[in-house]
Amino acid sequence: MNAQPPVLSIEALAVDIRGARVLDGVSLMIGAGEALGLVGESGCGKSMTALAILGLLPRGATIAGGSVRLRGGELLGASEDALCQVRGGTVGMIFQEPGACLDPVMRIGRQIGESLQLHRGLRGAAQQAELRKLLLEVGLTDTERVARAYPHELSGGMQQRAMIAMALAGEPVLLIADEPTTALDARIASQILDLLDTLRRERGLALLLISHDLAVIGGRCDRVMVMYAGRVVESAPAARVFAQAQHPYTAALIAASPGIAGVAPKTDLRDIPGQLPAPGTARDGCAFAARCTLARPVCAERTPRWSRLTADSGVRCLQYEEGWSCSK
Amino acid sequence: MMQRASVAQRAWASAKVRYSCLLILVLLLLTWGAGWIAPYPHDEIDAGAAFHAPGGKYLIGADALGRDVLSRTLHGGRMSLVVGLLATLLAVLCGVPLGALAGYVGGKVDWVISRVVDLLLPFPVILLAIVTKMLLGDGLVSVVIALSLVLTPFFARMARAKALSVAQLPFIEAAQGSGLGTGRIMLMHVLPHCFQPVLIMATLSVAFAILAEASLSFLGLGLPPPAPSWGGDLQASMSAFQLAPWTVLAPGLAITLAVLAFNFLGDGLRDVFDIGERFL
Repeated sequence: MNAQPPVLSIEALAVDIRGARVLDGVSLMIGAGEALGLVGESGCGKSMTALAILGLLPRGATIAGGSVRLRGGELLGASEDALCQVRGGTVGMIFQEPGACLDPVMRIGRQIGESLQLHRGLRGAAQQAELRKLLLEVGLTDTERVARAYPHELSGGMQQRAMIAMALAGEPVLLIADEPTTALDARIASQILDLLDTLRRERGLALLLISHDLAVIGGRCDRVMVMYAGRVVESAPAARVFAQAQHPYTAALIAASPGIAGVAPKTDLRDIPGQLPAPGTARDGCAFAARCTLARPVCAERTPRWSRLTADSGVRCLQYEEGWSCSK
Repeated sequence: MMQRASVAQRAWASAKVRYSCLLILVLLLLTWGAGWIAPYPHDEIDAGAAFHAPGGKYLIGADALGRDVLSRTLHGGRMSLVVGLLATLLAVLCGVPLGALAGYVGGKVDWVISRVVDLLLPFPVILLAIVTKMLLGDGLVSVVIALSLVLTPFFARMARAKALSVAQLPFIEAAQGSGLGTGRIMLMHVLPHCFQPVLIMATLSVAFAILAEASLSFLGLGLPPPAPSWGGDLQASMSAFQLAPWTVLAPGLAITLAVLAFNFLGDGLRDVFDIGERFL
């Protein structure tokens, strides 16, 4: 039994948007220095999970239940003041489009300085020194010029590095990266992922890496969780997910990915027919049943439960529940 | 790396902006320096020189009381320009933060502020001027307040619209994600984005305020005589237009020039910032 509580633990988190359940029973846990990859197609609830952690749900979305604990402290229902300390402080957030997430009329140095002042009370020369250190740490070596630049004067990769520096400004224990490389080209993307990797090791950060792309997650995370229609459908150590996917959806995702680190590139990619069910549609049965090649009539009737396979993996599929072999 | 030209540099590159700035500067110098430049005090009466034609002692003539028209026009401009600038400044200071707050925070705050603004909008400037004159007495302050009450709703609406659109942008979410509170986000990330449209609208509204001040003075709602003002002098000399047209032309042309200068500046800035004809 570990004496230290995990950096982040989410239990049975549920979120509604105007009565429609968009997150249902999401549970996850990340320890210090650990990287968790969250995969799924657009709209499956990955970003919603990240926003729920920080209490930044969009208007109309409400928490319907569950718990989010950061180093043992409950975040759901925490005061706005407390949440402001968490955001950018103990939890750093990196968003998808660095170009759009930096204020276009403010110099980079000032935007990062803002966080340094807010979360660490640094001003003047101390702030400048820390700013220089942060920029160097994220690989922006021309610190003087970058600090004075406006966002549009930097390339996409440099903007994302600046965003990462901003997220690090509050000395976080958890870094949430929501599609950090989607807006970048492949070479820059892998540099950014390498940077996140290095930071995690050097700072002992817990990392929640969110992506729709298995190739981004593969090789860079300890564990992978696959989400579908607001539910976690599979969770396992990264290597095992790619070698032997348990859930049909995970298998289909892998079959549709061109290349994953450690797995030979494929020539025949298979599409997953059909679409995500619209949020708010009937929740009976397995949400993936309509697109699943292994589906049986029972899949549309019974909602699969979480089946624990080994100590560190689990899946949400009727195949693994009792009675599958004799069901129709 | 080539630095992009700053906004100020781009603005100065436009001839419209340059010349109107120059004209405004000249107007300000002339009217503020009226005490030194004008050949006579604005209220020096020379009964023998009534309706003195332009030329000689009186460069552009004298009015019904034998007062030098040039001196009165120069002195009168001070009131017009000060009122125009102050009323606009006050309207910007009240309207922009209110509007930005309404647009960014939304909900009940937005509802209350928007209704107050809607309520202010239909009041004609004349009515407001009469009320402030009654409450605050004759003087600059009551005219400035009346005009700024008329202008405030426009700034509030514009700032609200701008804040509404800025609030949707990802960097606001990113700012929330880095722990900034509502007040800080407003101050650091929302208000700066209102700067360009506000600057353009403010310039145009100075022109409007100068015109409105002239109208109010013309109607006797400005400073009481013998204080010099363009609108007031226009009114006083109106009946003598055929006899001594210079008494009317001088303040009339002065108003036109001042309004034109600010309008051109606003137009020029709008071209530079390229934000279309959405405002005013």
